[in-house]
Amino acid sequence: MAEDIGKILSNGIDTYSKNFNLCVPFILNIIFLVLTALIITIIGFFSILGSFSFKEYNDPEASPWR
Amino acid sequence: MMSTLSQHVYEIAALVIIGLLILVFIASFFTSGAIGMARQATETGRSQLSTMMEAGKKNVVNLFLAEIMVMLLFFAGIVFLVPGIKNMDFSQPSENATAGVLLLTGFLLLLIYLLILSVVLAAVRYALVIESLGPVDGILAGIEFFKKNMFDVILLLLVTFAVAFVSAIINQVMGLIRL
Repeated sequence: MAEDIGKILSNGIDTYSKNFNLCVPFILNIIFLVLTALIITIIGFFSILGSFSFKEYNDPEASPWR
Repeated sequence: MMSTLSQHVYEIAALVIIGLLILVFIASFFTSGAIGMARQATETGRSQLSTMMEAGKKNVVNLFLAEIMVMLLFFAGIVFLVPGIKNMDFSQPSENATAGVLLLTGFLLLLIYLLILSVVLAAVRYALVIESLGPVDGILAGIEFFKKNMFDVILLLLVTFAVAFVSAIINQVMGLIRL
């Protein structure tokens, strides 16, 4: 064993407490992932909705959404 | 609605795959940035946000490719479900005891496979970013690291799981408290 597990954990906590900016990449990661997922969902939603023809819009009987 | 969805099944599948790849790419950038910052903090005692950008730019492609390879390894575990699904008659699910047992065994084997793979490949990201390796070399270095430090890696993962478990319990308890 190169280094004791307790020492690794205490060193890790010590380093983190002195460098709180280490959490920035994780926060940015969450923000960007949520934004991207939202954009992709909106694009997907509108691309499916966009496949409707005006005929279906004006004639609800012809709409497959019924 | 189902007919509309079935008409666009290929577009939806393509969108899901492209979206997944974009999400993995973004996660790879920030993960490599975080590991780069952690390395700097360990070596010098201080970390800077500019290091995140540097490490992210330098390793994002390699980490992205490594993540895809690891994902493919995980997907390969689906093979355990094939015998059960192949023997299952979905029109009469109640009369498929043997197929059900096969499917259940497949699920258990899949879980064990995923657990072993996630433990063995736990150090891949760190090895890849810290040593600035390519995707294949990163995976091999991660496996080599696991071989040399098997006990420590398992112990560290158990500690991580324990911390996450305790945090989840605290989260649940705090959620029960009404203000």
